[in-house]
Amino acid sequence: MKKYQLITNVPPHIRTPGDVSEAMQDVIIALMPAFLISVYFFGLNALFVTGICIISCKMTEFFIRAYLGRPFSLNDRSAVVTGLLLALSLPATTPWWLAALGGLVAIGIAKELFGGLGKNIFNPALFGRTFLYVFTGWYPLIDEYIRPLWWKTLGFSQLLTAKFSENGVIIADLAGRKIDGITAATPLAITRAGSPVFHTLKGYGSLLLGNIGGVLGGSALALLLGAAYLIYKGHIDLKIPGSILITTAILAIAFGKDPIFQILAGGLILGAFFMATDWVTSPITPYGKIIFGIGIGIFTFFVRNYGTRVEGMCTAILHMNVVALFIDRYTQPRYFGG
Amino acid sequence: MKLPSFKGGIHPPHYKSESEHKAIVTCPLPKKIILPLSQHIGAPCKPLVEVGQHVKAGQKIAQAEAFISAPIHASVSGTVESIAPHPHFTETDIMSITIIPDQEQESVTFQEIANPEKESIEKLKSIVKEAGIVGMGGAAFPTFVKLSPPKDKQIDSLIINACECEPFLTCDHRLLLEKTDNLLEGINLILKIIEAPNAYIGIENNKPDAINLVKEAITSKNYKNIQVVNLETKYPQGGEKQLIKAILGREVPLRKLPSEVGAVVQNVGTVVAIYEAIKFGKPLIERVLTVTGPGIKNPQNILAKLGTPIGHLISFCGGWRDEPPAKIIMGGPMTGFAVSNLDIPIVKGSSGILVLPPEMVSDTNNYLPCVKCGKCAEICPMYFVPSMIGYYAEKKRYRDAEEFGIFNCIECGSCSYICPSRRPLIKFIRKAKGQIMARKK
Repeated sequence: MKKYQLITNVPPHIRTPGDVSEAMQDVIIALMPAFLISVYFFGLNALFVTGICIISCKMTEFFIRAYLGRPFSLNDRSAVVTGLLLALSLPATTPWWLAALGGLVAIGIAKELFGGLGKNIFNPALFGRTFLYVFTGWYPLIDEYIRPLWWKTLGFSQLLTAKFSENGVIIADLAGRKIDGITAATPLAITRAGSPVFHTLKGYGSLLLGNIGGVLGGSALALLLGAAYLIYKGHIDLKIPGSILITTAILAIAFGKDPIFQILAGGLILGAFFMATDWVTSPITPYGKIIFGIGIGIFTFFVRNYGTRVEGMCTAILHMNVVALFIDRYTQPRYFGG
Repeated sequence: MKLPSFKGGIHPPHYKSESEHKAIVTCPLPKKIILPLSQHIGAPCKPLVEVGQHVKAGQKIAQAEAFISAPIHASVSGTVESIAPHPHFTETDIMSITIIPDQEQESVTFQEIANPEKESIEKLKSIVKEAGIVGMGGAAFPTFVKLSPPKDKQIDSLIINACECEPFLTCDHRLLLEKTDNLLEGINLILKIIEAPNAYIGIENNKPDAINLVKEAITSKNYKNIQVVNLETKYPQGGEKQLIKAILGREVPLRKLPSEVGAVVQNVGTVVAIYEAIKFGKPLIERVLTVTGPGIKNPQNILAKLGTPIGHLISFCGGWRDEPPAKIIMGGPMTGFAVSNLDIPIVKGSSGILVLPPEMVSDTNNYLPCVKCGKCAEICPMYFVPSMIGYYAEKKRYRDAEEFGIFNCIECGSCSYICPSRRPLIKFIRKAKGQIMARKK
């Protein structure tokens, strides 16, 4: 017989084929409908912002890992997921340098400085986004969003030569002719400003499709399609998003708000299904997941409806991220025979 | 209809088709038989023979005084060549008796019993003890101890573990098909010994032929107290606690034995061995095991003498299929031991030899940090959070590991199987358990 070496190691000797990078690929696939519909509604800007975010995340990861001497062989694709999620939580009008800064902070600070994959406390994409909103608080990104399908009102030559205003919104073509009607307020901002009930303005259909002023990941329908795929693949379950949605609906009814609107608006679907369910930053235990979701639901509802800003979902998730590990510790399941 | 099962568990590929339809064949004698003096859980045996002495097949050659132990018998007739440390499947050298088989193959006269039902319980128990029978599913716990539950515990159910939930292995499946009558008679004898009214044979639903055959045999013999339970195919369905939960719906309390909930669990192979010991006076000197895996030319279910070296069994199955294997495993792929040496002999608890080619072997040193996906917590059949324990064990935070239930772990390996970060959780857990035990001493 030929010479050979037998490996001896600890069982089990067979492993499931799925690994982290495959799971991350599934998340990327799940985000594709939302990404594609954002390109439809917001045009090349959406593509541009998304591209910048992903490249920034990937490059930050590369340089920090090189600097810290962390292995590259562990290519887990999670930086691409972070970039995509960051982009979907930003408006199409985000200038390139801001998007790049978001990616740098998300991966550089929230992830790699905390120890890299699996060690981060905060959801990197949300950390990066919140950083942009806090750091650039003077920047009028919050209430003035680009209007969906704005590009249909422009000619092709106008598109190519369009000029961005200082807040990133296309306001004039190259010749300096002012273009009107491109920006729009977000639905949440409209209702907060005292406008009549939202659906008399636009209707739930627009919210479902994402045909609204807002971030790229505004299409509830596309996001739910992706979430269904992740649930089918077994990467997430309904405990966290379900308890967020139910909590939101109950509070909305209790406080006389429109529950369907509260669920569909303000990035709640994106946050509940894709951000709050982030493996690393959410609890593991079944009860822990439900507590986590209820916490996010309560936090979001009061901040967005009664706080000084409409940014409820984002801050709610980040705050609950902090306590996720404690929740796990105190919600240990009953042991078999215990 | 939902089949009886337990909560949690995994669904690895079965890999059984290569050998499940092949009848048991007898392996010819090897040039050397190596019998380790510890083939069971409990005190090792002391040799009763000397180097150069001639022994007959079935002759007792080693025993121990301790309560939890099982004597060892010569599996062939021949000359004792040495009594010295020899490589063992646990990758340590263990004191072993080596016998060179002779041509005559004389056997001691076995004491047959025509009507075992009429014998006293104590007599039957002592026969099982003297025959050196241990749990043949892999754990190798001395069987007569399990047949002697504490007096204050009322045993109402005997459970026969015929799940064979480990992928690849098919030897129990073959026993169900080929030794059906012995199995049923063995069950009746055990029922008498433990004074229990009912027996359940738990078989996973991936063996429909065995389920039907055993059911027919029970009907034709009119055994009203024996029932076949068709179980969901899921790992670790054959875990003792999981099996009791699936069949009786009872949970064995933490750190307690099955007798606590009125159950005794025995593996199929063990029952057949008990029957043969009582009826024919035959000690445990041979067993059926599956030699299989994609790396072997001709996978088979083999009746082999205990002490047969792995290499001999592999040659009997035609050797390697294409290239030399990367891993040879004694036992199943989920809990078996990877061995480095083909001289290592099979023992009482060896249910299989698996030969894995390089493409089926992954590098366990290449793993990622825990991403807290929670998949391990979803499938843990003992309901704790393996990732947390694994993390504490890896970081040597033993007090935390203990607090979060490290000693409840049955080391089934489901968590390591499912982990997308490929973390060797069982390795961490075993090491931590050893360290904690050492500190407590």
